[in-house]
Amino acid sequence: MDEKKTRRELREAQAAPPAPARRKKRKSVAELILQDILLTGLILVIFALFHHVIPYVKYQMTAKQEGGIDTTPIRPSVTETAAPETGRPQETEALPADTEQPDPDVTPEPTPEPTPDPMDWRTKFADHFTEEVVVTDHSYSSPNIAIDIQKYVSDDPAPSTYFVADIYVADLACFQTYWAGGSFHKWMEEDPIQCARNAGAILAINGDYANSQDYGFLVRNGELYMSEQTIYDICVLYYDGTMVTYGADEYKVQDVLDREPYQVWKFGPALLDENGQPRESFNATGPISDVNPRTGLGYYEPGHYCFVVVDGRQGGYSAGMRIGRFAQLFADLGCTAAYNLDGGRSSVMMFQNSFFNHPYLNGRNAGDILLIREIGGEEG
Amino acid sequence: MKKIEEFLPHLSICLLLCLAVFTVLDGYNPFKQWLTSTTSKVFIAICVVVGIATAILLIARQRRRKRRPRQEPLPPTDQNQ
Repeated sequence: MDEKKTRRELREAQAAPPAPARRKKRKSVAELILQDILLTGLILVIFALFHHVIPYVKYQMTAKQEGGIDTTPIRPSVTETAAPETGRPQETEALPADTEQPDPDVTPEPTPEPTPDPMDWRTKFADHFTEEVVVTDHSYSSPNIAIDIQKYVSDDPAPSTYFVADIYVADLACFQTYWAGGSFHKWMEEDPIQCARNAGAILAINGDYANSQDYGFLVRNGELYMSEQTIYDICVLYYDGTMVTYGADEYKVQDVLDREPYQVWKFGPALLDENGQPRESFNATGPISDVNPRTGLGYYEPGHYCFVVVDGRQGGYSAGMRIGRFAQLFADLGCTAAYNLDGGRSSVMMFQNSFFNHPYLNGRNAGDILLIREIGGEEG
Repeated sequence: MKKIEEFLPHLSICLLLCLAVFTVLDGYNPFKQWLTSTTSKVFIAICVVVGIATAILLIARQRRRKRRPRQEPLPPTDQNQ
């Protein structure tokens, strides 16, 4: 009997864990999950502090002290390009062989016909410019600028309302960009209407929000800010007025710099291929490709551009556009190059210091804008 | 050491949950640099270190368990007694 008792005690002693002096209460699964969620929240807050708050405060303080970051002018001597002289003498091209034989007795004086200056946009687009400034509720024309904004409504495939601003400039200096706050400061934002007003813009659209990043390839108004290759498509407006879009792996930074860029935007994707047709695939992630309000920049030829803004996220008025449909729109307009800029709530078009489109939730602050303005302080 | 051993798996879960959040956000707005900023790179490095540490501790615990000598089996009980 004693032996039996001893065995039972031994078994019980083995089965039961040794009782600690002060036994800690085990947490339930719910408590553990709650604890993990709280810890996750704490980590997210710490991350936000380092990712957003501290850099923002730091850059704001630096901005106050230094007044912006250092830049390198692409063309050191050029600030605002002077209007090209019209009809200046050009080098003659070899004339094609005439079918009629010239009279051997008469040696005609060579009278070379002046070749039109490819940069003489004032003459080339003379039909669009006016001697005086003429402003209507949807157009503007002057000796330097011609803008005509049209509103379109499409039901293919979803209802969408978009605005196309057809732009002719006599001088590339009329086409500028403007940083929120007046100069490049990271994270600096400003009301887009205020930006347009400060910049003296006649027409403006939101930009690519480039000041939210601290790397990339960035040139604005001929000033080089950054020169790093990125994974994004870029859009380059050269000093000769040509605009070219490049896929992420289709360019070298130095090659672009050698051609003297006037503006380099980095958002994308590039919308058209070299034949002016929508690209087969776009360098954009799913949500960016979806139906959204959109802003884009189109190019026809040097001196002739267009701004397009698509309203969206607004019920039966306008849903927005997928990226493929947006590219098709530029192809239908006859553009040879087109580039997608920041969209969504950022998509705004401003004409004469007020919204021309109907921005989603009245838009939001912008980091930068693209604008058309008179040069030399003239404004209509 | 035991405290760390208990805490690390939770920290791993939390960090990886945050990483999942950043991955989703990056899909929506890559221009905010959720995965490519310097802070994000440091964060990912911390995830890697914590993940490896958790795995090492787990392996060590498993090995300890295997190495521990088995307890002597109890003598069989005599049903007749």
